[in-house]
Formats: sequence, structure tokens, C-alpha cells
Amino acid sequence: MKFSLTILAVLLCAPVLKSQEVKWLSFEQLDSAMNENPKPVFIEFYTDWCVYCKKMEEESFTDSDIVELLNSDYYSVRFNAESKQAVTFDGLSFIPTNEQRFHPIVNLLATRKGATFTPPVLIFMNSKMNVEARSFEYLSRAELKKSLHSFSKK
Amino acid sequence: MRCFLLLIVLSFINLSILAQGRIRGIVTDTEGPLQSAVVLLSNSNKATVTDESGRFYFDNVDVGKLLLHVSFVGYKSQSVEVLVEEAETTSVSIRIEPDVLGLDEVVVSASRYEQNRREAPVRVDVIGQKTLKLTQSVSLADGLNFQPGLRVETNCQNCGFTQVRMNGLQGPYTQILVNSRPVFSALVGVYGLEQIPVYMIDRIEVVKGGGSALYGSNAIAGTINIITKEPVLNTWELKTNYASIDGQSNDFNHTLNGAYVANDLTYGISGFATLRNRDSYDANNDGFTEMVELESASVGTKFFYKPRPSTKLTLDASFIDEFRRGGNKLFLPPEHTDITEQLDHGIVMAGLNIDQILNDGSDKISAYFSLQHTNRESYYGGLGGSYTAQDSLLAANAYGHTEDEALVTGVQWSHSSDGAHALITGIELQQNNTDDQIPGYSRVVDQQVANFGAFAQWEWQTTDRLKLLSGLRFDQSNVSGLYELGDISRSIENKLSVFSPRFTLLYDLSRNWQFRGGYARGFRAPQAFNEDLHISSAGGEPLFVIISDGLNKETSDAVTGSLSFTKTATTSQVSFVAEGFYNRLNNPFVTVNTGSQLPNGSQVEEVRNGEGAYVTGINLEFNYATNAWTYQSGFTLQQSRYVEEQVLFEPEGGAEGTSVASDEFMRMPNQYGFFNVSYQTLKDWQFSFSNVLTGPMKVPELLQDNGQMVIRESDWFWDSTVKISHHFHIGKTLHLELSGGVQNLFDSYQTDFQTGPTRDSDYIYGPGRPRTYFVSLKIGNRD
Repeated sequence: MKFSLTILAVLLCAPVLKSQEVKWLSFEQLDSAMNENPKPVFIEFYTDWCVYCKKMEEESFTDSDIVELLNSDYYSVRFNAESKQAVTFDGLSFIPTNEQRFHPIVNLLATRKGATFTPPVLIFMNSKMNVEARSFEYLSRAELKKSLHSFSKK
Repeated sequence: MRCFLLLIVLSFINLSILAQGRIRGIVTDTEGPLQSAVVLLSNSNKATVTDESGRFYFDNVDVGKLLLHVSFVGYKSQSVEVLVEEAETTSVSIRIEPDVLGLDEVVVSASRYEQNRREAPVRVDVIGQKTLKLTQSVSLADGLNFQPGLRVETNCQNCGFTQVRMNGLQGPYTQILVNSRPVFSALVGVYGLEQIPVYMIDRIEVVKGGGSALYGSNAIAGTINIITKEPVLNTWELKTNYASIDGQSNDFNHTLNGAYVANDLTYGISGFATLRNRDSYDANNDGFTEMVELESASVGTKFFYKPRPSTKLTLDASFIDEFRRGGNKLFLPPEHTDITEQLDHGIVMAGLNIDQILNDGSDKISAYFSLQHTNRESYYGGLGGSYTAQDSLLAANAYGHTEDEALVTGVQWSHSSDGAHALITGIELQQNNTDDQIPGYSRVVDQQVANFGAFAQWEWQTTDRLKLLSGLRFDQSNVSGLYELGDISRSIENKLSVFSPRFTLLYDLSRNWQFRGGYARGFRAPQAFNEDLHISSAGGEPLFVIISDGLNKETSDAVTGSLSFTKTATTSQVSFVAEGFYNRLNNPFVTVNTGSQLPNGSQVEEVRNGEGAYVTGINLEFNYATNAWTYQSGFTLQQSRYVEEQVLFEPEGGAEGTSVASDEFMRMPNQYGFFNVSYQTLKDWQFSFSNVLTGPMKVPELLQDNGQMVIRESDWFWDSTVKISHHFHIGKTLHLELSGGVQNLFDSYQTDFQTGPTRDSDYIYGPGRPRTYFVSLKIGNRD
């Protein structure tokens, strides 16, 4: 009986423990937040079919240390590269079109010369919105933590 | 239009009265202005995106030399230097070139190293999980029909022997690979198509036209490469499937699979287990099976470990235990029935693969070792309708035992430099020992095949548009075999050295159109193949295949050419392919029925070298997909002919009957194809309609009363499957899917089966099952 009560308690508490989530902003929210109180920026570009993005979503962005870091030291944006929503960012207007597979802002931020966009792409910016680093591949929890720590004071 | 734009651009010049300079420009590609290209102004981090007319502009730019960087997905990005002068507007026109558009699937088969599908000079068709699911495929045999140029057919009512026919050639002309390794031995090939559960398959890659000579002998028609799942996410799934064949026979299938991959991707493990239980099916109520009883269980696992990012070890193992029985009176011991074919297989497969990436990814070395062992207990026989003492004695001794081992090991090295050249070379050793004994018939197949292969291939991107690929493979094949049946004894001691060259080119006609062409040579060393290890029955007596004396190697020359169109946009994807093939066979292996009987009553068919044959035709493929709709189709028009009329039935030694010859291949329709339509609502409902069409074909029938062969022509068959699925989300991490439907909706099934104990068990053609109703339930942590 005691045992099953413990299980019940764990089951009830589990969602509470997991409830800490990353506060994701849109690019527009990022713009206004940066105007008021500049902070380093973290951006992830993902797609629905990208399994590595899914793995990060499930295992990294639910990690309490990472959530804490992103919420306290960063403004965080998670953007679907195949989104059809117009985005205003940094004074520029990015309007997706049907002819284009990926959103124009992906072309701006997440592509490399001579290479097609391959999600996930992670971007670390300083509080002046200059790109500190870009990662074109999956980062494990440990790697992401390390990067977030090293760019958080910039 | 462009003149108009220029006017606009020029009209801005007079307005520029600011202290700083300005840039105005237009971005074009081969077809005109390019919208949404990203223009970055170096040094200042300013960026803009071109508008509908390809225009962009920068105001308040510092004077001096500046670099404009233009990029767009699917295009080569380009940098242009501009000189900005004070209070001036600099006009610039930038033309960028399309880059080879990448479709997402990375394909292994074409050139033996991972490569984007669209860039592969050899055409690779992929059957993915989605198609397997929509078509309610349970085993590999069900799934392969949904590929242009491929057709799966059951060849025996007593044992359910299936084979895949590619571009008009029979099963043994196709090399089946598991994770690019030829572990499918001659024996496993017999029933393997039905034994491989779809749950271990991530995708099936098909290369047609012998263009993959890299994979060794037997790839005359092409290769089928089964790629097993390589997980990334942590998953589990439980699935159960029930089917009712013609409302008479039950078919249960249960699967459990799961995967765990470490967060840092340094190790991962996946596994599956399946259980299948299918009743036999009797179409004409004569007490003899048309579909065999099946009981099988399989388990498999794959494990990978990456000690460093550049090193990967993969270990995989699977075990299949399968029991099948056909004939009549399945409840009695086999020797008390008229006809029984009963097989109990235990198959173990294991493989180890080591990949090492060197020099920042420009070099890769792989070493691999795979082993397969099969143990088979067989019974091919029975009383055959008459109950004399001799029949009883023979029936009691029709038990057999087979041991089969296949080993493959090799090393390969691939090197690519600056994207223009790619070199790949390797050596491979294959060994296959088969020992099949049925003492009651004095039947022995004791065969050792050893093959040493060395190959090299060079791929050269000559210009932006033209890619050339040439390869050469050397094989040294040693076949040593003893084939005995009654008082007949044949043996092969053969040492063959064969060079197989191939040459392929890919030419990008435009951004959407591509041409591929190629030539490849192939060969088969004389040996017993899968179909020769299965025994059918006719006239109540077993029908054996034996190799003739002095059987020579068979060679092939294949030419293919294809034109393809692909267009990918966010909301839709269209592709069209027309592919022509011509494959000439020299000294083809042909099975001839000699009509003769051994003293113990067994009948004999003999494998001989024919005069020559060719298969030629075209495969047409059309696919269209939007987010909700998917349409896939493929159709083949072809001819499979012997150069001279080939004898198929030749009564010998006083046997009755007249000889039968044909210049057409048996069981090879001139038209066949498939089309699938599916519609998916916002994730929760899915409807699909898949169809396999089979045109008329010539089928040999051995008449029941006198054993004479006659050639029949079959009708058209239309095997269609309808399926409806509904998805339930139970919380965030639990998903449930319920589906149901009908296979072979129009009950398009053979109607002229022979009946009774003296039937010709090979006289079966067309769809593999009559109308079948199914329901399935899936529970897992993913959609």
C-alpha cells in the first residue's frame, strides 16, 4: 500500500517536475526585448522531419540546467525553418514564398556558403546581436551547456 | 520586364543626395530575376532579401570597396565586389547559378558510399517505411511490388516459395543485400523474402540494370539493398495485426520494437521481436493448400558505439525461426499425407562493421564481417495419392536436412577531394557452403562457393553539369559442387576469373531535368541457386532440379538510360522518370523439364545453358506529393525473349509427350505496374488505396493425367488494398493507431488451380493472396 502510494506520488509529481520549460520567443518578441534589455541570444532552427532536432527538443530543452541557463542568461528563439509566417527582425522583413523551401531568415542566419541548410542549426549571439558561434550539427546536453556557459557573458 | 526594372533602378540615381553611398541591385538566375535571395553586405552585417522582381537595395553604405554576398538555397552562393562612391548609387546585377538540388534521402547503394540521391550517377529507387505502412506490407515480399520494374510472385503452392523479378529477370539475377553486404545466401534466398519482417527495415534501396557491379556477381538485373533501422530517438512500439484470408484463414502478426540512443550519440541500441502465425489457405476446397501454414518468430538487435566522433562500430544480430507447411492433411505426420512440404528454418545472422573517418572527412575506411548460418529440417514428399508399399517407404524417408553458411568480409576505402573526384576501392571475400541431404531420394547438394572480389570506382564531376563514373570489378570465383539424385551424379569444379566493368554518366540538363546513362557487365558462376534448392511436386511425385554436366558461366551486358524530372517546393514535390533498359544474357541458365522419371518416381528438371536471351523495356514512374496527398505510380512495358526458341519440356528416354519450346520467358508479363494514392488529414486520419497491376503472362502447366507441359496465358490481375487509419493521442508521449482495410479488394486471384494429390504445385501465378480483411493496432511513444 505504502509502495503504491509512493508510485502515485511520483506520478503526480512528475508533471510538476517537468513543468519547467524554456520561454521561447518569436523574432518580433526578441527584437523588442533586445531594445529594452539586451542579453545574449540563442536561436535554434529546426524542421518537423529532423530527428536530431526532436532529440534536442526532448532531451536537451527539458534539462533543468539548460532551461535555467536559457531563461536567465539568454533570449531564446526556436524557429521552424519551413514556417510560412512573415518575420520582422532587425529592421528587415522576411517574407516566405511558396517557391522557396525554407524561410528567408534561414537563408540569412543558418546557411553556409556552398552548402544546403541542414537542421538543426544553433546560433549563439552576444547582447549586441553579433553572431558568436554557429553550430550546424546536433549538440549533446553537455556540449550545449558548455556553449551556453561560454557565450552567456558576452 | 527587365528593361522596366532597369528604368526603376536608374530613376533612383537622381535621388541620391546623401553623404553616404547606396547600392541598388538585381539578382537573377538562368531563368530571370530571383526572389528572396539573401544579400549580405560584408563588414557591416547588414542583410536584405530580394523582392518579387529580384531587386535589393542598401542605403547609407560607407564608401569604399565592399563585398556583396548573395546566397539562396539550391544555388551556389556568390560574392561580388562593388565600389561605393560618396553620394552615388552603385548599380549591380548579380547572376547566380543553380546548385544540384538536394533531396533529403542519403543513398548508399549507387556507388557504395553515402551520397545524395539526386547527385548519384546511378539511379536509386527507395521504398521507405511510409510505403511499407500504407500498403500493409508485413514482410519484404509484400513491399517490393511497389517499385517500378519489380514484381514478387509465389511459385509454389506447397511451400510458398516467393521470388522477386526485376526488369524481366527471375529471382537469382538480383543480388539481395542487407546493409550493403551480400549475406543472403542461396538457401536464405528461397524463403527469405517472406522471412524478413518489415519492422527491421528502415528503407529498401533498389538499383536496376546491373549498374551496381560493385556488389559482385548475381547483380545482373540489379540489387535490392535492405537498410536496417539506425535510430536517433528513444522509441518503443507495440503492434498487432490480424488478417482474415478470404474469411477462412487467420493470420496473426505481433511486433515489438524499440530503441535507445545516448544523448551524446556515442552509443545506441535498437531491437525488434516478431511473432507470426498464419493458417494455411485452400482456395478450391480440394483439401490441398494454396497458401502454406506459417509460424515464425524473429528477434534482432543492432548496437553502435562511437569511441570518437570519427570512429563507429556497429554490431548487428538477428535470429529467425520459421516453420512452414503446405500440402494436405496438415494435422497428420507428413509421411501419412498425400503431399507435404514442411520446412523448419533456424537462421542466425550477425555482422560487425567498423567505420573510420580520416582527414576531416575526405577519407573513410570501412571493414566488415558478416556471418549467416541456416539450419533447415525439410520434408518434401508424401504418398502422392497412391498407397503402395513403395510409396509408403519413400514417404517415410522424405525427410531432409540442410546446413548453409555464408561469410562475407571485406575492407573498403573511399576518398573524395574538393568535391570533384571520388575514389572508392576495396576487397571482399565471400564464402557460401550449402549441404542439402535427403537420403530417401539419394539427393545431395553439397556445394562450396568462394569468391574473391576486388573493385575500384572513380567518380568525376567534370563540369557543373556532367558527372562521370567508371568502375571495374575483378572476381575470382571457385565453385565446387556435388549434385546427386537417385543414380544421377553431377559435379562442378570451377575456377573462374571475371572482369566486370561499368560506366555511367549523369548530366544535369537543367535545374529540374537530368539524364543518366550507363553500361554494365555482369556474370553468374554455374552453381545451384535458391530455386534449385526448393522442391515442388507434380503428378504426385517430387520434382527436382539438377545441374547439367559442363554448365558454363552466364554473362550479361546491360545498357540503361533514363530521363528524370524533379521539382521540390515547400508544399509539393513532383517527380517523373522514364527509364529504358536492354539487358543481353549470354549462355543463360535455363531449366528444362525432361519429363523423365527416376526409378523411385521422382521427376527431374535440368539446368542447362540456353542460346542467349534479352530483356528490354521501359519503366515509367510518376510521383506527386503535397502535405496531405501522396500519389506514387510506376509502370513497366517490356519483353523477355530467348534469341532462339528455348526448349522447356523435352521428353527423354522413352517418356511420353511432345516437346514444348518458347521464345518468351515464362511468368514474365509484358505489362505490369502499381499506383498508390493516400490522403492524410491533420495527422489523425489517413486513407490509402494501393494497387498492383499484372498483365497477361505465359505460365507452364504440367497436365495432371500425362505430365505433358502446356503453356497457358494468364489474365490481367488487379490487386488493390484499401486502408484507413486513425491516430489517437493519449497524452504527450503515448500514441495509438487503429487501422483496418481490405487487401485484394476485387478478389483478383487465380481460378484454375489443379486439384488433388497429383496437381502441379508450381502452377500458381498472380497475386499472392485472395481478398483479405485486416485490422491492426499500434501503441507507441511516437506518431
